[in-house]
Amino acid sequence: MTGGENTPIVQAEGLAKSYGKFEALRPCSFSIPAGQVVGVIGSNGAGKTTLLNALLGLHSCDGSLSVLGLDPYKHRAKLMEDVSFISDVATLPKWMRVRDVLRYVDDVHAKFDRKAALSRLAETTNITPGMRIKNLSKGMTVQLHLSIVLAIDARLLVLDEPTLGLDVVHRRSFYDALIGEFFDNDRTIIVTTHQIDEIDQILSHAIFLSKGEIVLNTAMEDVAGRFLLLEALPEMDGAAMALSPISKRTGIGRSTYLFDGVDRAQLVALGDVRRASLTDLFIAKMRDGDGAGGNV
Amino acid sequence: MRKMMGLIRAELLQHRASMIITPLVIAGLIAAFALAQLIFGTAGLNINFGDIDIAIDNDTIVDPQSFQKAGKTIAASFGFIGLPIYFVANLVAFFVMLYALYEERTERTILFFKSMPVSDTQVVLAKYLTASFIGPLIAIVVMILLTLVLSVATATVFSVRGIANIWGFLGDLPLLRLFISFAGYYSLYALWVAPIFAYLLMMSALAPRSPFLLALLPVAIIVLAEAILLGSGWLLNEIGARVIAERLGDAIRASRSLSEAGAQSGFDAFFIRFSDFVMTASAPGFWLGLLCAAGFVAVAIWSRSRKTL
Repeated sequence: MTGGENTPIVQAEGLAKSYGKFEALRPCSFSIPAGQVVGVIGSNGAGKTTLLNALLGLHSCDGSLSVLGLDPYKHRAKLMEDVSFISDVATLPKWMRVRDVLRYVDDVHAKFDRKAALSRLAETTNITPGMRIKNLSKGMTVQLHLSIVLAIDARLLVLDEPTLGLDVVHRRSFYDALIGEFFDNDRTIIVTTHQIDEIDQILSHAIFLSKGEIVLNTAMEDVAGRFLLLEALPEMDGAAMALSPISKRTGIGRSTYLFDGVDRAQLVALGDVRRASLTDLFIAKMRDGDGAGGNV
Repeated sequence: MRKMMGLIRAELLQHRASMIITPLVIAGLIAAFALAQLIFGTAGLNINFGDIDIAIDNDTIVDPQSFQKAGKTIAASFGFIGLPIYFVANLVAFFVMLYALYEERTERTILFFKSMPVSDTQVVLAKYLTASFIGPLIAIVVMILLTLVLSVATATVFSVRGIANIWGFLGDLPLLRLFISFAGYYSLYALWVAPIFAYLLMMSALAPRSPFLLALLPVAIIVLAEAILLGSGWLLNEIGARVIAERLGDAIRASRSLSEAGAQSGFDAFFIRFSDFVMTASAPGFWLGLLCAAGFVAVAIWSRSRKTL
């Protein structure tokens, strides 16, 4: 298995997945280096889970794909020694007690530290080993699953809408735990979510998916430098349009333009300028992908 | 090895009610019924088996030595009282196979299990081994425990009532031989029904819904087609003969006829022999069945590797 900061954790070339004539994931190429927190962002049916399932070896796909130097579909069991995964739904076996699931993982996973998982559960939750999983709330189940994956010495953590159905307090503490207890410069997190505003502060990289296609693949530091939002003065609409914005949204009295790679100095004369947030970008890109009104 | 043990332990946890609690409950009911008969009934035994012919009731004073000779046969008889446990365990095995790879998809636990470094082959084999061998072996252990309980209870009641002092025969109880025999016969039976078990497991992996109907349908179609086109009923007969242990019975009869020792009677006639395995292995259709079973299991593994939900 390969490693190191310079070796990509994920390398995809022409990666695609079709179900009959339906293209769930259109051919795409990308790489993810180690030590990144990557957000895979898209609306329902955009292909996020299809992409994640390909990375996890849960289904076959076209093109070439390497995760930690392995073909995920051919070597899923081997790959899972270094990859942890939390799905969007509660997947822990409801017929087990907490102690049973910890023992199971301990039996099958050489890199799992059961004592660490038990300590974390005791210190940060009200979950006890004797509790039945079927009796845990959604939040407790996610906490249990998080404690399990944090006790695995994995190099890549894949999360598919992990906080779906949780309240805002649990969502925040989930991501705090991820960054505080898992993430370091050698470990990588790939997370899909709808709730962009909750993760844009922790992401180092964002991939936008729309209708099975990657419409944006950028480092967050580039987002800050590349994309600017202009709330143009009414008389400056023509000048703003002349600078080829990638998106336009008409508000009450003023229009808002999103620019990619336009010099800030050129824009300040036309109105109020600020950095575009990930949400601004997402809305612009999704409208673009949908062919919705308001696009430029 | 540790992984496989962990997988089997998880299977037993999932099917704790059907594979562990159910045999214990049935054994408890049988023991309660038998103890009630012993305590409140005539406290009698009537055993007529091979060259053993014993009839004991409240008025019979039994010579302990003559009872001692019959001890093995009595123990075997108690062992056979527990047969309902064994039959239920077989029924459980069929249904566990039928839903083993289907429920993990409907419950979505497959996503958790696939997030572990365990191959599809290991998971499918663990499910097969647990349903096909481990569960029934647990039932056999319960049957042996029931034999012990009934033997101790009988000795106690007879002793208290002054019918016979038969505590000595408890020391000669052939519990290990009984266990080896039951486990041996069951293992042979499990190999005969392996293609049926494996077929059910394969259908549980393939079924998008209702594995029972999906498993039944192709068999029904082939049986009907065979009857209409060829005017025969080979498939149905073969399935039936394997399920009701007719094929196993044929092999054991052939084994018994091999030697003079085969004519043994009483308990010894029940004890499994090496020749039982040899005759089973040389029986027509045995290896073909195992080959089909291997094919069905391979399809189940392939299907699980391709499916997540």
